[in-house]
Amino acid sequence: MYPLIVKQFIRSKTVVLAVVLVLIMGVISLLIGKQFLTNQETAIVEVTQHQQEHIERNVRVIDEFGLLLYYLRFALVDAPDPLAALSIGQRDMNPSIQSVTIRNLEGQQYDTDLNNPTNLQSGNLDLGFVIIYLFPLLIIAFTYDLFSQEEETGTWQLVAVQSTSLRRYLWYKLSVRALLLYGVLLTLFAIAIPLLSLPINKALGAFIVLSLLYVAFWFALSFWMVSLQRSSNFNAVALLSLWVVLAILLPAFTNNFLANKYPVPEALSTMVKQRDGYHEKWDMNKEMTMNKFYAHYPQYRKYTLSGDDFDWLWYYAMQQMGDDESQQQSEAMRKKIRQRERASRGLALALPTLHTQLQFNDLARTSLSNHLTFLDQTRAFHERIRLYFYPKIFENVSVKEENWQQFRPEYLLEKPTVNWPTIVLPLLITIVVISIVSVVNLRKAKL
Amino acid sequence: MLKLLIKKELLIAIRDIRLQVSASILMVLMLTAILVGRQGQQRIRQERAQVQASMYRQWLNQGSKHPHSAAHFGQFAFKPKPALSFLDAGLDDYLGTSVFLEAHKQNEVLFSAAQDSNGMTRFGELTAALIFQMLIPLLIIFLTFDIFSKEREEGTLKLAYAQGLSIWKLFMGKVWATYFMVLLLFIPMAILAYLMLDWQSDSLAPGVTTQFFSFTALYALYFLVFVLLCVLISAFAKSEFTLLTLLGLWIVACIVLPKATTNLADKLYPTPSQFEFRQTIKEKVKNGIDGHNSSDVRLSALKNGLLRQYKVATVEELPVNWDGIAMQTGEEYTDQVYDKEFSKIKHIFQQQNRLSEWTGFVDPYLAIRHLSMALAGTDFEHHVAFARAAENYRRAFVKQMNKDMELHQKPGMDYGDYKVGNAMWASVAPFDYPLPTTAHILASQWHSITALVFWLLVLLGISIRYANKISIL
Repeated sequence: MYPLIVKQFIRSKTVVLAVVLVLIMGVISLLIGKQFLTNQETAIVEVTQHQQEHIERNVRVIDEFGLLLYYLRFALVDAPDPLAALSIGQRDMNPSIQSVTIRNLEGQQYDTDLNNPTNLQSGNLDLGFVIIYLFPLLIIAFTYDLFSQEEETGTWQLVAVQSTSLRRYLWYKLSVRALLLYGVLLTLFAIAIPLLSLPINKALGAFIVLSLLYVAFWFALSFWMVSLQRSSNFNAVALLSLWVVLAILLPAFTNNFLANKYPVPEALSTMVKQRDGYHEKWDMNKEMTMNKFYAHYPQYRKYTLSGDDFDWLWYYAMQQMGDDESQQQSEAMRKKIRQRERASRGLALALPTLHTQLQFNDLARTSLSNHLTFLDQTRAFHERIRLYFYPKIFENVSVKEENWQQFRPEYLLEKPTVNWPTIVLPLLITIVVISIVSVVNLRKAKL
Repeated sequence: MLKLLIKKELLIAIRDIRLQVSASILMVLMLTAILVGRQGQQRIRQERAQVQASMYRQWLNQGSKHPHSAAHFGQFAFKPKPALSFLDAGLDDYLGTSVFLEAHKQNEVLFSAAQDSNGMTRFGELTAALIFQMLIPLLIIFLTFDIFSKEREEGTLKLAYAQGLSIWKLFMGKVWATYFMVLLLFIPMAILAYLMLDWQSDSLAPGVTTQFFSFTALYALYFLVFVLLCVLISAFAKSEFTLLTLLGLWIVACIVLPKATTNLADKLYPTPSQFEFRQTIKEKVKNGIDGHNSSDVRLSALKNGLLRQYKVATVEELPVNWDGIAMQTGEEYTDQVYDKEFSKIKHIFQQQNRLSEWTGFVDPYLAIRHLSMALAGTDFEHHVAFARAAENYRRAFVKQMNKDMELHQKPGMDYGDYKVGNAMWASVAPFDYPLPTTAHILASQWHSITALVFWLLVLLGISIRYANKISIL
């Protein structure tokens, strides 16, 4: 029986065509991912090389420490994980390199990468997209007439007299389709691993498990539709409508809802506050600025103003005020963003499409929270460099004495954390519930 | 006779429960999208108008200071939200909304919504455009996939033919009936949207009405293209494959091709990284002149020129303020470099977009997408217009500050001793610029308009040529 079912299924031209198409799309998506990784790596190599030259050149011509540090930039790199090629996420928009001076940070960290917004809107055709959008369509196309087709072409009676259990017969038909699609999916991963030199680790494992579960979810949903025993056309229309709702409408709706519920106007006020914090100090009493600066860093009380019109100590104190006085706004903004992020994760638990996308991004370290961590790390990095150089500027030590070789771009060493229950449970529960309902439906149908 | 045929098709469709349900869902969605979109637009407009005004007030009341300090203090420009933008958010989520304008520096337009949003934004936003572009075609597919096969099964096609009805008439009857139903959904929404246009706002240029009618007319054209395409396919495709073929086409047209095209465009015309872009500008400026650094060759050439012109030996003896001149010259040099580099990037983006516009000849969805956001004022060209205007405004007021310094800060006078006040600040008008006109938008979108017309003509041609070959059995 089983070989016959297999033969019948793969003899169809539509099936072969659809599988070939998805395989091609999958391979294209992997190549797009590879291209993305290569571009990022080139940029990182460039920044490393450039930083060295940039420091050497400036050190050669500038002998005043305060002025030198006005120009020098230090890079922190959040190199993309190879998995990012499978789910590019927000990485196309948020830069993987932050190159900062020790002047105030708020004005420096909100630049996005150069990008054609039209491309951002269309999004990347990465493997994540192929899995989240295209696999369900394939599943729908393969299963919507699982039962109804036999009824419509009149073969159901033939099967009915020949097989012992009709339910088992349906189950066989379904499993043939599932095996084929899982084969396609695993083939894509088998190509991806050598092509992108993906390390075999927990994150990759979680990525694959999540894909398998997501595909299982759509099989369950399709099977449920089949278990209602309606006509082929009804099933096709209903399943596609479900796909539209789950993959397009509900996520778009959630997006509107959250954007309205948690607007982020603080971004701008941070910027304004930062400008005021710094610029106003030029026209203010120097004492006032210095007192605030000493309050923040008591260890620098021993450095005092020289009494000249211009003093680097005063200048960097003013720069510091730009950050200090916008800190509240900056924190409020980060809090708002995190709130929104949490809310969307909560809602995503009920939406398999959204959940899978967000988890893919998390595993590939291409999500918003990953970028927020990077910004936090940048803040710490900036503070560390700042505190290293402050005494040297204030004492105006000789530029030539510093070991400039040590300032190479630093790398963020972050590993994705794999939180199995969060990844697996929402999908697993949905699948189990839908399957139970389908089985009950079929029992009632007295096949 | 045609009227009778249309009436019959309509009656059949209206009695179909599936259509009743999907049409009412679509109605509710469109209503929500329009109302929510309108509300969001109003909120954003208010917000931006408020901050823009308060920022300008800060500029006016910044007290007395040196004009160059004021240029550093700077101003902000906020992107206006055009009247039709609530119908199509276009690229708005992916573009910055405000820019800080200060001396010496071309800042980026910052703070896009997508930037502080997670992967969810990529699923899109529920706007009227999403429904018009993707869901109405889906409804058309549901309306038409069995429009022939059902009648073949029931044998009514044979009957009608036996009564002397031409197949052409039957075909057109189905086309018009389907189109009529689509318009039945679309026109009330269009009227609602028209009534919701912001008539009070002063930014409602006289061109908005034409813009709105072009917008609706082009959508009506898009729907007609889709109806013709679907009816043709269901007339000729094998009945069991019709639905799958149509859905397959829809997915390729609305989901796969747009992504594939932009990824291909990015590959063909690669974008440099932000870092590279800034670096090139810096390198080029450095090799030339920097307003704050008088050791450069260019600067000394400028100095020698001035000394010769005024026949004096040192800058202190000049009747004009040397720092002011040096600063403005540096400014203009940076501007030159920036313009050149920026237009390179703009050119790359435009080439990328052009590819996707040409793809409109293969995929009508892409054609309407470009047209829709252009008319809604949310496309790349509108953004460039804003960025350009803000940059020009920056240059103008920085120049005004430098000029004042050049003319009025007496030689030998200390930076800290020269101050100007409120009259000076008030002489800088608030930021404002004209939005691109409808004629300009339509002219720049000729690829997409031609693509839609091309589709219509080709489909009509095929219909006229082959309609008689439609099988009635």
